[in-house]
Amino acid sequence: MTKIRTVLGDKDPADMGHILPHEHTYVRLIAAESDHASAFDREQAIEEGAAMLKSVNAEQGISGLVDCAPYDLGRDMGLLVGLSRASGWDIVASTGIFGAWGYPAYWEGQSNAAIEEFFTREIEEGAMDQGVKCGIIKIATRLRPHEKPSGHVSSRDLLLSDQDRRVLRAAGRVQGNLGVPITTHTDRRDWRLGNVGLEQIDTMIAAGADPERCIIGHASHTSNLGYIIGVLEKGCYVAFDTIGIEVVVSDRAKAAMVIGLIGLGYEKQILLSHDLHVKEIGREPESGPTVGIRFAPDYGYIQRVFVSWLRDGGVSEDAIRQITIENPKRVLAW
Amino acid sequence: MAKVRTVLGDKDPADMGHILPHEHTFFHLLGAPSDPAAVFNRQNAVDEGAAQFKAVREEFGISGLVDWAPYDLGRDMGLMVELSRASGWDIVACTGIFGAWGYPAYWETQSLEAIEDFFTREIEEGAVDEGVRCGIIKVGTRLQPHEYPTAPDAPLDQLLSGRDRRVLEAAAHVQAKLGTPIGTHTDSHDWPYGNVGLAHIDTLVNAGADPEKCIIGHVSQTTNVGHVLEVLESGCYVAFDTIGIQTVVSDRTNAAMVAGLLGLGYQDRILLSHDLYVKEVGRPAESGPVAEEDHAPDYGHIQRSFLPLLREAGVSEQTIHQVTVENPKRAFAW
Repeated sequence: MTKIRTVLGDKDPADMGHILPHEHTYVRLIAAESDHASAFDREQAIEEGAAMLKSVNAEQGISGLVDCAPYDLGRDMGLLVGLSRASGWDIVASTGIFGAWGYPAYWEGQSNAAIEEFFTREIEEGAMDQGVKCGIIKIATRLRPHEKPSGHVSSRDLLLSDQDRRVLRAAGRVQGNLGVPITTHTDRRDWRLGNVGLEQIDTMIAAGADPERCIIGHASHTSNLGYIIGVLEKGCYVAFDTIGIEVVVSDRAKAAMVIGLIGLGYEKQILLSHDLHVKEIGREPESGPTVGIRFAPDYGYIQRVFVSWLRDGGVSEDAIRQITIENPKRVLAW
Repeated sequence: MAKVRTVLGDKDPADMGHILPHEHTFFHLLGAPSDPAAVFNRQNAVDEGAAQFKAVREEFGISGLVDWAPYDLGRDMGLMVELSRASGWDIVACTGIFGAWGYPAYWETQSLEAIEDFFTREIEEGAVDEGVRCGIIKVGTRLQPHEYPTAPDAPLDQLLSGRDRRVLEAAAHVQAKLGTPIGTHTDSHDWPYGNVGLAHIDTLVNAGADPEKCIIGHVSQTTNVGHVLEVLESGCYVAFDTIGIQTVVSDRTNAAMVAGLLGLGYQDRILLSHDLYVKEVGRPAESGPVAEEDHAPDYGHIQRSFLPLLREAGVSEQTIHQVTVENPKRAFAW
């Protein structure tokens, strides 16, 4: 029997409801914990988060989320467990390496074998942080300034650094061994240079990953529908997981893309999520990737606003149920 | 009265002996604590370090060191306190930002004021880690690949990135307020492009630092004596603090430079150290800066192997005492 691995243990997907497939709860950038001003009341943070989740639960019947923050994006297992208990939501934690906003130098220097062992142990034995087990591997890629191809090109092989490729392969191999799903972050800056999503899925498949267990995330940060169809043709899931974040693509444009793709028959490969968080630990940043980004107002925004646009676009209740409820459960179960 | 701030409290420099001015004890790269394989026995680590220190004390009378690992290089206050107690050595901890081997993303996004507040609190109130107070501000700079000047002999403003400049300025502002000494890491990769040490001291002094309370580190990783002389002309200390690391500049070359500079009368401004450590926490790296370095065999290498080269070159015992014992005590007192 397949299971979904939550922070409170493995669950039968049949007993689970509507899981948001790409969200966050508490996040922090590397080293925020060194700042005296990062201190916060953990009980209160859990209460606030639980209140936020419960209000959505009552309104829309959503009952869980995948927290896509691995260790280097400030994953805090104690908070996740507390939040899951206090809210009744199922929460799936991520192993993996984010790295897109500053790389964890230690893992950059480690061998492929060490990285694979790290992912495996976080899934099978649990993380160093409280021994809580992870239910998904999160991988992010982002070209650093000196790695960007010059000019506007879409040439293959130039959209991932060696480091990115290495970590994608490690994830692909661990999935080959264990069956655990993989979810990725494609960077909005990289989509301008070409089909980075295709590059990611090809790299993982070549390393032994099953496309049906892979999610290419942040496809909603490109408006190039041709790129997205190219990725879908590989058989993997594509996540429109930045609903409410309109810095690159407006939500109306995302809705148009989703309607079009469902029309073409891809309803079993599409996921919707907000990439929202309850709280960022630390002082307000002055600069950097999160400054000036507006997020969805709450975890119910897709149900309340986005899905209604899909209905206007003629998408059936069946297809909506498929993409919001069935698809997340299917891809998360292993 | 001026004091040296050690991890066990403030001390009168007159009560202190021979302090190695730029070393490490235990360190780790960002992300290492997530690795189950990075677990180690803390008591064994302290015992091992204390045994090394005691042996060097017996042979050469050395009785302390300044540990140049700020938070983002894996400073572990608990270990340093235990090591100081077990060995009897004076250990000075540093605040600051290293950043040369992977940047702590949180601090990159924070304002100048937030960084100053962080340094100030780590010096005055103590670090979040155990509340232990820091006695020096360490700032590292390193150009990222896309920031390299296009040609050698680049103007000084091309040798520092915007964030490097910001952190140097923050350190200078905090020193102007508190009097705490500043020590810098110049990167061996940057020296070939120009006088990065002069860029450091100019930036610090322009932001209000007193050159007599600044140490420009790693001048032993350039062979350009002209550059070192320009730095010395500002009135600051220069540290030949990679003695035993011969991958960039040999000890014999460093001895010739030191002997030459002593001959010109800079005996008040030269410091000697190894940049050695007891233990790097985590698995050995496969690649990256730590994997590429060799090191002195122990903390007595300068006494055993480097000072004889200076003596051969005619440096007097009085000058050697000045450089190895008196200069560190003066440089770290405030």
